[in-house]
Amino acid sequence: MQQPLVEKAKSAGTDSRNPSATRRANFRRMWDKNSTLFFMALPGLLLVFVFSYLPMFGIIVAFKDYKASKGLFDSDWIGLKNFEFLFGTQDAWHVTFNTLFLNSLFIITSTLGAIGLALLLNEVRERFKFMTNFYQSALLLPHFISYVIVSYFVFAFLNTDNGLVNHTLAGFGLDTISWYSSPQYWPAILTSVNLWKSAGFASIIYLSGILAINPEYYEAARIDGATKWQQITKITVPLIMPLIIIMVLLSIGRIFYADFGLFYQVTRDNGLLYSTTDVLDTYVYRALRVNGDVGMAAAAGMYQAVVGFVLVVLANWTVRRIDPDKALF
Amino acid sequence: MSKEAKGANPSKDFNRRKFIKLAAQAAVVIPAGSAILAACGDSTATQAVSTTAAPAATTAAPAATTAAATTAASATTAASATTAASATTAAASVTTAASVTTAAANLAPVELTYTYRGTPPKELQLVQDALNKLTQAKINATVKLIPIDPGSFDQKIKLAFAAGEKMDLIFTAPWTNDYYQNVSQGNLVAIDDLLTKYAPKTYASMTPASWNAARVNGKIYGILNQQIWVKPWGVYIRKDLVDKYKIDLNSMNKFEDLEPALAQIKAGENIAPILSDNADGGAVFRPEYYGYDSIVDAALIGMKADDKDLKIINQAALPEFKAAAELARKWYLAGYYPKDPPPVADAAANFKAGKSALYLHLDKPGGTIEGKVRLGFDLVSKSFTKPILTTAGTTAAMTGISRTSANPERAMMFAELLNTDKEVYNLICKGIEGKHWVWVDKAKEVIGFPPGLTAQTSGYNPNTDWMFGDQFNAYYVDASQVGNWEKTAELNKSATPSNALGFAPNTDKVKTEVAQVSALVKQYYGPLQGGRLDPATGIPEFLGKMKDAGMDKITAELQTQILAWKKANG
Repeated sequence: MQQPLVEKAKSAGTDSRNPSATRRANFRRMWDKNSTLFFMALPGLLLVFVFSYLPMFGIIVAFKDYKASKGLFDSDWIGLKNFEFLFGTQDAWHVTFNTLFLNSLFIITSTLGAIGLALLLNEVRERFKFMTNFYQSALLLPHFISYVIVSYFVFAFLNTDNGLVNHTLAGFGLDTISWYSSPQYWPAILTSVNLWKSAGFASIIYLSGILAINPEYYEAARIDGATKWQQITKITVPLIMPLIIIMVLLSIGRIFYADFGLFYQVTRDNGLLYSTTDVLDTYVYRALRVNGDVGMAAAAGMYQAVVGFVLVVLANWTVRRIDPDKALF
Repeated sequence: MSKEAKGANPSKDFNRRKFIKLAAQAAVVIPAGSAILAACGDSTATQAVSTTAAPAATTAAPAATTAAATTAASATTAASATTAASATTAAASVTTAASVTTAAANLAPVELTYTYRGTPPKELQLVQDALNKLTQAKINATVKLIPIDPGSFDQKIKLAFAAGEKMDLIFTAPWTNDYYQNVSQGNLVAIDDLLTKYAPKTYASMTPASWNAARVNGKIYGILNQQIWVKPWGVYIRKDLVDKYKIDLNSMNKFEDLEPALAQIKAGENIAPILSDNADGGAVFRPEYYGYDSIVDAALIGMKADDKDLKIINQAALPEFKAAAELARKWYLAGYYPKDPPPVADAAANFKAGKSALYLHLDKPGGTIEGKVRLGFDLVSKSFTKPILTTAGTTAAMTGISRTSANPERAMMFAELLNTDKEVYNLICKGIEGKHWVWVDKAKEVIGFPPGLTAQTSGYNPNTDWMFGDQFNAYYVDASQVGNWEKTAELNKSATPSNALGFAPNTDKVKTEVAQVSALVKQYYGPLQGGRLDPATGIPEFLGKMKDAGMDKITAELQTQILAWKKANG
């Protein structure tokens, strides 16, 4: 449905004999239009440069036997030795799998959940104006609750002796479950907690995307007799698709970074649950808390970063194969 | 269906898309960039969920890295700046301090820092001012007291070392602000000469054998604090319950003997009696209880303390380990442990709230008083362990001098005061006379809180005498304590020394393996020894994974080291 529009947009940009001149003209036009925005972003960009790009040279620590007394440059080079503990044992592979598996689950559920919420919010927006603010705030609230607090909420539900869930199970005459020693349930529990905490916030982003859609489309659709469902699937979703792809690609970039608060606090750092809840961040923390080795920590960080980078590039490549216009770069 | 609708306003749509795309590219480049630089440990910034001590601690390892990366550049400059600035004073003090008997007036005034592990008390400044009056008169130095919250002590010290921050005296031990790591990283200076020259009384107060425990590669890097050096594992029970159920502690000699009392309390109070947490609090297997010297505690590497052949073993493979795990399992199933033990930070609060009745801990003289301050109940205690003197026990509390110290000589003089001058020592331990404490019985050196003050309301009550110096100089806080220090000293002296006493393991060569094994120990030790995991399946799994993680390599390496050590030391 979008094809004609896409082609038009494309031809507008490339239909010239002198591409570089056109590009310059395009840039000029964009600069005129967005220079204010650029200057507004400048302080942020500077911060990113100072705190994100300058320290990047510290990457060499991952290849050194770092000793504070010798300093960054004089510490001995030890090649890839720092990376060994990440790949040495079965457990190390296991946590890599857990990290990818759970984070994929999180990305899928929270994206779908957030889009669903955004669509629902968009529908109630016009009919129950006074309720919209309430819904938005209520959905947003979990985002601001620290995982330490969340872990106590979860404990109130799942605790073996006095937990709400076990009380309910017992009330129905069912067997109670010792949640904190049954690892098989935890992927589901963590996914729900993550959904509860993150979906509301993401839905606001999608909602703002939906609000930016030109209402004329809907008007035209209504005139053509489209149902609500058709309007959603044929107008709303396709038009926010770029936004969805951006959001998903961004989260894929971080797929190797597990939310430490979630995995450490909500599981109460419980050894019995590690088989399904132990992720790279918690493993590295556990392994290195004892010797506090800077080089090994840096190696773990670099491993996460490199895999994240590769995944983003791959995901983007896949998107470009399917629909070049939706790819990020 | 909406072709016309879309075609109606292409330019608007086009700009919007273009802009989103531009913004998105920026948005991707930035996180991708930061993802890469996370290699230098920036992950702390992104996972800064931490609002409490526990998660703050969690970011320890990466935090150290960040510091390494961001401060490395400045480290050298900072260090050289401080050295340059204080070079003159240092030089001055070297010459003047050369003779120990020099009067304070002959010493150039210097400023020292003393960094230790403790929650900063409200009235720290008052105590520091009072302390400085004393130290100025005695060694013409002022001392800045820097207590650092226990939850973040380790990583803050790591950052400080990485940044080359100027520090003088620092609390160090194998269990926090790791002594051996500090030595291998070159963070502490060797103090053999300083010790004999500027702290002769402290040096003389302990036997050469004791000092050997602090030696790494033949040199001393930390001043030992005299306190309880043995680890007499035992039990502390709430006094009200002991009275109520007429529990006879004297008849108990091992952990198993607790069972009748546990059953009584469980039935009568309807609580899970044993204080436990999600780490290893409440664990039954304690190496010293079974006569083992736990040489690398974090990896459960140990040695039978009286083994002539110094055979290094994996303690998890011991029959004692299995027996202890089975006992714990039995207790867990009987409901003597809480089903879902609380996080470490909450355990004490649960005890205070009356949800537990007893805890398994080191039964040291005065332990019931410390326990009461911490847990809010009167306690009685009993040791089940025949005391063994180990390296880890002897070095459990030490004070080191940072390599960044501009005045190591003066720092050592202050350490001498802490260890030998009762006035200075008790000022830092107990606060100011009349304000934080009053004499109850001056002849027996018993003090108490001034009227209207309690342990909780006092503006200065660190409750950690053992951290500051020779604990045997501390004033007693309760009449029942009188004589405890003599008893403790006797306990230290009468304890059987481990055959590995004085051996300091060096895990540099096997740090990958130690990291992997200690991760496993964190996973299995607590659940197994707190009864939450069935030993029948848990122990074989644990041992299998340990083997996988290179346990054999660690034991082999340490075996070589300890035999070489024995050869060198006869």
